[in-house]
Amino acid sequence: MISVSSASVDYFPENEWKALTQKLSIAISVCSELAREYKCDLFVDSRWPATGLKLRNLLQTRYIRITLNPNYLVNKETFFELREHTVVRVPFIYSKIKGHRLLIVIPEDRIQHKEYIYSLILQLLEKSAADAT
Amino acid sequence: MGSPGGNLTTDQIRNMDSAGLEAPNPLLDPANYIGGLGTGAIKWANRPYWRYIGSNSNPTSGWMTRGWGWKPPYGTNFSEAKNALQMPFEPTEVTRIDVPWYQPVRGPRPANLHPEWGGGGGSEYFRGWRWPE
Repeated sequence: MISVSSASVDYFPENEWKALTQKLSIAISVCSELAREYKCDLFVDSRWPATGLKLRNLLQTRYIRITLNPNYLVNKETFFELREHTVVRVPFIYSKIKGHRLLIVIPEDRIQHKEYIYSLILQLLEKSAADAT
Repeated sequence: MGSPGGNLTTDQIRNMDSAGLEAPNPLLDPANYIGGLGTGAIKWANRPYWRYIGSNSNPTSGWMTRGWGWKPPYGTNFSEAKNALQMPFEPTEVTRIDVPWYQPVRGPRPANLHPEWGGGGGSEYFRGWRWPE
């Protein structure tokens, strides 16, 4: 069972934060499983409801994220987005976002479908493994 | 005490000479420069932190930023602050945070987790030993 963070957050009242992160509990569990399987890190965010994976190599980190609608604070529409971005980083010297893109919008009623979330992220991981070889 | 008529005695002249020898010119003393640099470095390390806040901000949040100088890094250019710090809303205010020297602060690290909100690259700090998860 994945515990949902109840940390003090920046942008949401505590009840809203709990409700929104609860919606992500299945996605968090899927990402934890994939992180173990693919030996990468789980992406966590204490300020915004999101989960995903962090894939590091020497100079860059690739983030695959399932994140709440980025305009939620304005329009209060509850849906999630699968996004991807890469950060090139030399510690203490240089850091730049190389590219980012929105891959798919996940409606609220699909965010708790384990197989759907699993296959979405797995496709991305397999594609990046294929690109690397 | 001078002699009648305002002339100085031999003892008074000797005392003045020895007093002059015992008071080195402070401009020639390297210790003063090193001390000054040390004091300056300590002052610089204790320069204030800042928080860009808006209606959604949590007043007790530990997240902060700071620049190279003593002023808020983006001044009152709130759209630049939103972009650099990747905030989900445009802040409307900037407040100074004075952290006592004995309290731990983690950072800096560049903001780069949410490119959907801005280009990032602004310095993030957090009050505590560890980044929150």
